[in-house]
Amino acid sequence: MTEILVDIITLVLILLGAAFSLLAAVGLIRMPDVYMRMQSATKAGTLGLACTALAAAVHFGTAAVAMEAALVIIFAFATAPIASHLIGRAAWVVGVPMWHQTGRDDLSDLGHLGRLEDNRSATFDDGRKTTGRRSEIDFDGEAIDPPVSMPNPP
Amino acid sequence: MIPELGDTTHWLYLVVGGIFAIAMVMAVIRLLMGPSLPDRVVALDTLGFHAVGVLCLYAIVTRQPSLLAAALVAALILFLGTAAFAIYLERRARP
Repeated sequence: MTEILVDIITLVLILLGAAFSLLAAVGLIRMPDVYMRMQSATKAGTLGLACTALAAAVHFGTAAVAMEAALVIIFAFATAPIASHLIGRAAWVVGVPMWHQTGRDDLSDLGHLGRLEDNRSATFDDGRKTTGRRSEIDFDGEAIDPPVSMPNPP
Repeated sequence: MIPELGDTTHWLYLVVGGIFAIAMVMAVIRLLMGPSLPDRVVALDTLGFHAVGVLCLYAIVTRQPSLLAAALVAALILFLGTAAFAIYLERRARP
């Protein structure tokens, strides 16, 4: 009886993990810009990995395996948000455009005022400016009005 | 009662492997067509997460718990690689 219960719990957990991993991949394909893709990939991917590792711990049932699975889960939950934060910040610094319907840009100085405008710019600590961050391509593939590019200060 | 459920060659394990394969193929599609470099890095991160999940699945199917140690190391190196990519991108943007 216990073996069958363990097998059922293992299969349910591993199916949940695979489903969350598939959801992460679907979000990676379907989301319109890098920042949203990162959201779905990090959250669903972490949960899928945690479910799969938990399934391994339940299936083997020994303390050593449970410890290793717990370490995998702890590492995933500790490092995935840090990596996502680093990549998001790097994408913003590089200047990857946001989706044109994104309402606010919290990293820019004027972002909290409301909707992004075409020539809205942000200033770094060293005085350099970035130009407008609206995407030139609509989510449906149609071209929208291009952002006004500002010359970089010397 | 399902007597053959403990068998790790059960068809449900095949279904799980197929779902992971589809997810990894979708991550590879985003890795190949991602418009910018951060897109590709995010896709690579997701691909690595799926690989760690597949390692856990493989440990269950082949009944070898030592594969979980490999999953642990893979998860750790994955984070290091993503962080290195992010730092490289940021340093390249503003030297």
